[in-house]
Amino acid sequence: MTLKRVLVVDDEASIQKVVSLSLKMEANWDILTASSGEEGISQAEIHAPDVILLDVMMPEMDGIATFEALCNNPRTQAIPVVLLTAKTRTAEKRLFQKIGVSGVITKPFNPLTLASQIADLLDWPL
Amino acid sequence: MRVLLIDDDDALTALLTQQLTAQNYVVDRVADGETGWAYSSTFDYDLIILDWMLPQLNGIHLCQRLRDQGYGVPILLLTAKDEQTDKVRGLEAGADDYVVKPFDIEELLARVRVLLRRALTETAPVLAWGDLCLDPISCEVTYHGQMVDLTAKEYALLELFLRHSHQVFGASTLLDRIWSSETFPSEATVRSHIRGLRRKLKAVGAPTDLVETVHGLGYRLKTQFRDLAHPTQGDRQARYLEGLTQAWRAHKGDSLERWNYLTQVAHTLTQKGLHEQQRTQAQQMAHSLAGTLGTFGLMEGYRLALQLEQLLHTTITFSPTQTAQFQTLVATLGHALDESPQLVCPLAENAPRPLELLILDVNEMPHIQQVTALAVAQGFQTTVAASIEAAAVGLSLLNPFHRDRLADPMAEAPDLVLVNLVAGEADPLLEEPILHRLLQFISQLTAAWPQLPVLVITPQADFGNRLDLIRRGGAIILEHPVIPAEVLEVITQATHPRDRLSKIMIVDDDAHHLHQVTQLLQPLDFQITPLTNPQRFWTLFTEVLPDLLILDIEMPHINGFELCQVLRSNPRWQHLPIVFLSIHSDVAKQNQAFALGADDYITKPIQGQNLVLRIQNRLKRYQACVRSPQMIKLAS
Repeated sequence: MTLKRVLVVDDEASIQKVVSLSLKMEANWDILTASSGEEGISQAEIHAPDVILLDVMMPEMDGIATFEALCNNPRTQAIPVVLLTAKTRTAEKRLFQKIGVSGVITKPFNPLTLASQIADLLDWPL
Repeated sequence: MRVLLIDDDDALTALLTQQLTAQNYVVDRVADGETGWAYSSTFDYDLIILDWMLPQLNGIHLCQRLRDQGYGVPILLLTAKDEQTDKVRGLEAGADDYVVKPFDIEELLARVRVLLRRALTETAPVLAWGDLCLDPISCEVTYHGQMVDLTAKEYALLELFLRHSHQVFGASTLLDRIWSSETFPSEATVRSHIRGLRRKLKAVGAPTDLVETVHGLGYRLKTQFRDLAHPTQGDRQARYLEGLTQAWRAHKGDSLERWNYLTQVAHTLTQKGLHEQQRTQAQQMAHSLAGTLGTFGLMEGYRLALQLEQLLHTTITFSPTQTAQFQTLVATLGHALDESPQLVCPLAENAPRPLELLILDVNEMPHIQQVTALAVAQGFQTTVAASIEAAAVGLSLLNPFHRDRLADPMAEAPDLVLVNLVAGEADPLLEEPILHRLLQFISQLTAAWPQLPVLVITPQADFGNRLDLIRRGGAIILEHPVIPAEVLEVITQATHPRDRLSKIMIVDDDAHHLHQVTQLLQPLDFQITPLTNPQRFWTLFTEVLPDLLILDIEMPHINGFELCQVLRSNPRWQHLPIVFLSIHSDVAKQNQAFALGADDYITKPIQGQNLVLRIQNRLKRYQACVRSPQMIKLAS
């Protein structure tokens, strides 16, 4: 898999760690982490990652608000965003897809195929 | 070690809980026999401390019921009854020990330890890894029958490796697991003990690397024939699992804090209602917990946290039933947090989702609360509505926001709705206006979702009332009183996901007819086995083991009647649906078929729709029948 830089935005340190572990181990991608929407936006501006993995439910600025801010920011609007969410209801999933994210990955994800799942969503060569 | 304390004396249980908790036991307290039964049949305990005089179901009866159900966990009976005959009665009911109140707390704790130790040694099997054996009872280790003399720490290390034979243990994990918190050994100590263990194993002829080093990660038992030159999927998984375990250890505290918060919420619910802010915060806690637990492979916890989130999302004012449901979920979640991280196959898009139940119980009956607790424990995602309005909101019948849900009704409807028409134990009949509204609700429900199974529990199950309920769309009618476990059994049967295609075998020597029937049934997702030569019947039948058999009568060598007789002569096939398909429309032939054990008789020419419905009907009844406990017993 080509080397990619991934920004993981999640207020849960444990989830950041597990996602990083999984992506490092499977694809050896470069992982950046942020613990809030605001930090995610600023990291995205600085590092221009290839994809942002964004948790939906975060305190203060949630995933949807963060996504909107990323879309309205000329420096980050081109970065694909994949939502990571424990929400599984069909209606919510449809809503997420409607707002224009590149994909939705439901927690719990398969740690051994998370990288391939992201690559599939973004049509990255394996 | 988990202890269930069943006693209605608050002061005593508070003291005992404190003492047991101080000894590192995890204690659940309940105050009556029925709840004790519900807890003990739902959760796993290492010991039950049981009072004799209990409300609802006394300790002796509970003890007998537990033993009758094959419950082998030690039971310590605690009671003020001190007559010799009482002690005998208690022990004969299945108690393992008997302590008379007032008692000395130290003595009670000592008896608890003895019971737990005894149970542990009775269940401990010999651990083996190839020629290496470790007997946890005698504490003897042998390799190829030859005794290996180990120190206590070497023994403990080996036992840990054998009990978790596919796990890699880092030095820090081993320090935590094997050495006590009062000692301060270094990782060098671990290395030194591993060296000692290897040396002693080598001395009796075991390979030097039986306990192998996984570079950068730790130690584990060596799996034979493993290609270590390239990391395999198994190696990657082991590495990931080790990382996951370390991350969980570092972050488990966060999840425990969230769980504590939810425990406080459960407590608050019993005292007073929740503020909107508390409810939102609790919902967020449950959501975060679900995400975390799922990611760490604690799937039971993940499922429970999702249910809590759902309950907090749909409920603004908690009824006593919903409060009880919340408490059960939180208590069960507490148990689930003690599990170890797992490398699970997570919920893929097409993986089966948990089955959803909606329970409408306007009178909040205790037996429905028990059904709810059992359903939750068995993994149903359960929503309890205490009013018709709440049920309608739950089903989005009234909520215009969920328009897309109505467009695809079965996609989001629950898997079953239970409607309780029982008013109370003393007077089970509901007042006419509420009964009328509930019946109207059932009609509305089945009009919106004709395929949705509606289970009704009613005190009036005579023919006329049954007919009325059926006409309104009630699919299953149970007469009150009914045991909660039986209700759950019915729910399980009605919602049992079809885990494989139904298998139909068709035997007809006329290839044209065979093709015609196959073509008719093919679009209905059956697995069809056609057979033109009845002489091959037995070979194919025993290979396929069909769920339904269609037989022609007139065939060369062996006719359909003979095949039917052969099957019916075997108790195993007495319930298998057999349908005859024949050109003979005379009554004599039909009577003969039924006399030999046929379930149905269809005459040719075949009417497609009629054939399909009759086959589906037979299959449905057969599948319900094979899932019934009596049939399972018969089959076994």
